[in-house]
Amino acid sequence: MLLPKKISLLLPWKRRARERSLDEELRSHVELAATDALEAGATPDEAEFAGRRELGSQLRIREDARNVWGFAALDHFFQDVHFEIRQLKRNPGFTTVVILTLALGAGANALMFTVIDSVLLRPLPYPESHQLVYVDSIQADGSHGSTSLPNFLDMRAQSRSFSAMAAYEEKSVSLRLPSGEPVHSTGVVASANLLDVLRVHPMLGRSFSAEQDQAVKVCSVVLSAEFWREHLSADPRVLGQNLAVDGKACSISGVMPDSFTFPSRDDEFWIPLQPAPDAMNRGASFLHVIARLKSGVTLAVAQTELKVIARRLEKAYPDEDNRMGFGSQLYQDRITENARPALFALLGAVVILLLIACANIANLQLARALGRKREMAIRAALGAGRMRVTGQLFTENIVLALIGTAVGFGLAAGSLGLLKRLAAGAIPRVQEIELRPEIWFAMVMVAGVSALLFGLASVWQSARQDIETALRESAGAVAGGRNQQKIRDLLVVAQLSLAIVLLAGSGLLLRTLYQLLSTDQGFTSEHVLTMQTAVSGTEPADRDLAATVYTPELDEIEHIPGVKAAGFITFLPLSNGSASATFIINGRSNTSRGTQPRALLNAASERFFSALRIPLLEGRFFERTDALGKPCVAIVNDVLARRYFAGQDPIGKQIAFDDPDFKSHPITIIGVVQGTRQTELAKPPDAQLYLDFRQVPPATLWSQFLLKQIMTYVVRSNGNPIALAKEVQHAIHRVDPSQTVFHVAAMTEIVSASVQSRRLGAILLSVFAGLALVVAAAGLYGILSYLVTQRKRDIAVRIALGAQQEEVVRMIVSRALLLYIAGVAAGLVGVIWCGHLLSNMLTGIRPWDPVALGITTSTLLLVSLLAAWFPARRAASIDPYQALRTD
Amino acid sequence: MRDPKSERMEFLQGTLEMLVLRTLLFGPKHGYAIAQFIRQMSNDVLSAEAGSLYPALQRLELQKLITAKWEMSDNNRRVRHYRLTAAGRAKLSSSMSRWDEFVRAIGNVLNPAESQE
Repeated sequence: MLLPKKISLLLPWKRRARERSLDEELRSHVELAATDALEAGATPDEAEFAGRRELGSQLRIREDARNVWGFAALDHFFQDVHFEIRQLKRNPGFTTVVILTLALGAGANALMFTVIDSVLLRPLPYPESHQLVYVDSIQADGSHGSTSLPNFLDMRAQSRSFSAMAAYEEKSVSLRLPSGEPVHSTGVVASANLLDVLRVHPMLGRSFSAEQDQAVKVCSVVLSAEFWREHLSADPRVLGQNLAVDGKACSISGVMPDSFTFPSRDDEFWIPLQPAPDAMNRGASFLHVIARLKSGVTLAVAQTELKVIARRLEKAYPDEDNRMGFGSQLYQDRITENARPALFALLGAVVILLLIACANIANLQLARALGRKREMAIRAALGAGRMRVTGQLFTENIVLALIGTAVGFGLAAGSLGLLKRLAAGAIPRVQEIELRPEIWFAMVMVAGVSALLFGLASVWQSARQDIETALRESAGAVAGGRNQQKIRDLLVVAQLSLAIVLLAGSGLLLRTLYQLLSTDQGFTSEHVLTMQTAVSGTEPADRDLAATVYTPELDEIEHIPGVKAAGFITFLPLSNGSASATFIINGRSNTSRGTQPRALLNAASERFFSALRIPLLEGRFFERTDALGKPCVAIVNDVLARRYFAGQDPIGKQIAFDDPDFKSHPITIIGVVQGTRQTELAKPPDAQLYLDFRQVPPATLWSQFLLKQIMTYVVRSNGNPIALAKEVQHAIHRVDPSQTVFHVAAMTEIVSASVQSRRLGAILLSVFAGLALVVAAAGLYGILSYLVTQRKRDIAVRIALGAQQEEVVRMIVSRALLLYIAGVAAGLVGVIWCGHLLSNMLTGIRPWDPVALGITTSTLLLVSLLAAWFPARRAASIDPYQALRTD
Repeated sequence: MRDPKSERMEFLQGTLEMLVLRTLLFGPKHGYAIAQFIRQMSNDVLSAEAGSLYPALQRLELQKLITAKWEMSDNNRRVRHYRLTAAGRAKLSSSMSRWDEFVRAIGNVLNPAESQE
């Protein structure tokens, strides 16, 4: 009941009205008293005086009354703010340095907060997205991977924890628009209930219906809003018209809302999965599975059930599903898990940067507090309470912190666009990154915490101050006690030790990146042009593409001047995915309950290996004579040879696929090549199996899988590979004008793009570490300059007594070295901790990597010496006569 | 004529507020009238100085024990009249009984014989 009135008095106009009322009341009091005095017979002058005396000090009454209203604290705060702003204006150098330092720290924090908030914390843009679960298959060797269609169907039929479960696969295809125009596009092939699982519905038309899941009669396609606008001019009448997807007519059934993306932003269409009967191979894993938990069911419960189902399947299909399992995780975790450690490491880095900035400002504040010692003492002498003085210092820090944080926020907002461009492809959900109101709140917290951090030292210092000594000290002798010197040293050591942690972290990441790029990839990427092509999809299903299209094209390309070798492959290393298959080694009993041999599968042309310079270790490459109908041949890599033919010569051994299309054809191993890094640079080569592309049986799942979809041409030139792109494209179109060509890139670009996220992490951490280094060096410079100023007379005496310049320089530099050594020693713990934190981002580099640590410590040493150099020079050039003559 | 000031007494904590409330019991008064009333009723012993009276009035007003209004006085002067609220009335009666208790207790300590009668 008391509160509302008091709060209303916080409003400035209410308060002013109240003050006016009080003044008038006091005036009337004086008048009334004067009237009384007149009536008692006093002269008018006497009467007025009596009235005044009656009242006493009007100012004092006003002050007391205002205290009753509870304004004192507020008034003081505003007075302090006004005063501080004047103070800061008067001292622009100090103010600028503090605000910029803090802005760097706070800005980096705002940036990382924004990224983490948008990427990791915000729910995915699907209704009740916390119920979405990603399910994968765990192979016998413990690796996680995709799921086969029969296993998916069994799992979906048996599970009770999920309200719906869908399977999908991303696919790159040729589309033919209703107008007849061919377009290359990537989209999703999914079980018909995919959109029900996601609970997103088309904004136009309807989703594909459930019965299409089984029946392979009519195909329907749902398009993205962007595709609809770009290629179909947003015409609603296209619903029901036919779009050819890889040559198969699909009627357009709906258009998704603008905001919808699944699973990636590039996907432009969704069509139902229409499995050919031979896709029912339980060993052929190619599907991703997403499911929605029933409400109230936890992930743990679902996981337990999936385990039971996996055991059941294992019992029913001991060959294919031997030691198979299902893994589940929240879909959001699945798509952000790769970025998570890096983002948190970067968050740690910016917090450290902020701490360094605060330590630096604290030191500046301490130095300034010395200069203001007398001001503070005079205030205390004139009756300002300790609380009042402390409050004023605190206000000053808050004002500085708020301004610095606001500038930092501006920096962050400004650099967000750059970050998003850098991060495209390296961080999931990049397009969703934006500044949200929560970040404002977080930044106010950051301002408060940093004000507290850098304000504590000076507040503490002033609280301990003795008024009398402060007033008696001469201005020249503002020395600050031993204690204060200790605090300042401690702050600089803290800065150096935090900086070395950041430097070491960025050094480790840079070393990893360098190591990865210089690692033996198994191929040579220089001078290699790659491009992807897709046939139009209208070819008759039984057409032998290898003989009629690809072989003539390869011949054409090889005739281009400047081309040294041209080949092609289904799955280019480090780019468009991979496929794995199990196989049987003929003559070996498969009754052992061990795992079936498994390898990454690829269809390659004979010159592919020379185009990428993949070395042949044994046997021979493919040859023209290995045609369809001739005995099937295969090339394996050294990993496969070691794993499955240990101690034997793999050449001449026969293998087969447990599949009707291949069962009758044993495949003879004719060569062993060196393994390539197929999926990512950080992963050592896995077992690989290359089939000759001419021998992939046409009109089967195999040809669809390995040959008919996108193929990648690999062309080795003797100069700049990109210069050949046009000619190669012409050569392809001379053979098949309807073939689409896309993703033209040098192999070096593909290698570089594959480490994009690592590069981003390394760049950002290096930027933060660089800023930390600059701030810490400034801190060291500051304290040494201060030391020189403070000990000017001391140094002057030494010089006067014959000390050489080198000795003076040595004195300052050794001081810097002492601080440096203390900083590095203190930072060592942090460096170890940081290395462990980063350990899952390091490949081939130990957290203790001596090179990285050596480089970082010597960088810091170099910068420290640089920071010491200028104060040392100044000290050495002190003129003793002048220095000793002034106070 | 003796100087009344020398005989004046300091207010105990909270007593001024109680006197103000008591003064307003018989109708609204402005600040100066309150001060005069207290002085007269106490035979010039108690003086509510403006320096403590006005902050006290502000305090009482904020606690909603009194309300204030600018009005015209009998001799046509704009004055701020204070009135007792219901809460103020209740507060007055409770402070008065506490005061009585207090005075009796003090008296008992100072003159034990009388109280034992």
